[in-house]
Amino acid sequence: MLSVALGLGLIHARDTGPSSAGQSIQGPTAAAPRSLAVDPRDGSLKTASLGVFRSEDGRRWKSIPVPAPLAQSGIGQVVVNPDKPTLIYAAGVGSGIILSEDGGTTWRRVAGLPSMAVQALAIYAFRRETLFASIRGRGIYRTENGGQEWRRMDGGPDGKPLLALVHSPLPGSMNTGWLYAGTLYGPYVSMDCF
Amino acid sequence: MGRWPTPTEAAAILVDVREPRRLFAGGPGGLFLSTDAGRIWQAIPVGAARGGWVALAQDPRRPQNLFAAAADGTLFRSRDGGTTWHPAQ
Repeated sequence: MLSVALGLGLIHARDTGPSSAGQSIQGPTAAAPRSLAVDPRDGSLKTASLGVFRSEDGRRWKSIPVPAPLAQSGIGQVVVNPDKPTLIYAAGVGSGIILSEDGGTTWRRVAGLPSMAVQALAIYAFRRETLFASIRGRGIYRTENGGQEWRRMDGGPDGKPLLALVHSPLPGSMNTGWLYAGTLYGPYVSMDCF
Repeated sequence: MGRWPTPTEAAAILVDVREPRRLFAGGPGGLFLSTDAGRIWQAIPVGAARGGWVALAQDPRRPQNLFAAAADGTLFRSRDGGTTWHPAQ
């Protein structure tokens, strides 16, 4: 995989200024959200923040129960399949990946990954059975069948810990789209996304 | 490639489903927009987010609706594809 840093270092001349909108809308828990997803059916939000939560307005959040041991070990990622919104994936370092096929009523664990330390999770831009998972210390894994089987694809950008992954449909040399990764050192991109 | 305009992390990235060369990315250094797939980034004057921006999302069926969450739980929303942002309410 060719990973390219999308720039490092210098402060931009147009760095953000002071807030012009002062109202603070608090999230579902005291913990920081790590991930947001929108349910295309009704525009409601889901977030991962030591659990999975749903909100219709961004102010009032309702917990979507997940198996307790998983919530305690930290859910930091939530992905909603845009074409089948009742299919929800949740993941975190210590939790692995769990999925619900009924909108969050029941969950089951996704097997086949080398560890539970899932740092980031992304769904393919148009081939929805394909997902990417960044496993701490192991690299980036891909499933092409909705999580049934996983295959290690790459070590990631210079082996850096990943904070976010997102797939783009932009055309690459292998016609597989691009994969962006958020890291401690800024964004990276692979333009020949395995 | 262009420069990531802050020495801090990119904690969240969003690809605009309408135009995939438009990227939003956020972190402790602010919220940024690229219109050329990540070569050049410019700051979005959303405002200060305590702890930085940590999550971004777009409504796939109403893609003008974007969301940005800060580390303190603050949630901002854009109804015009990222041009203007306001606290969600």
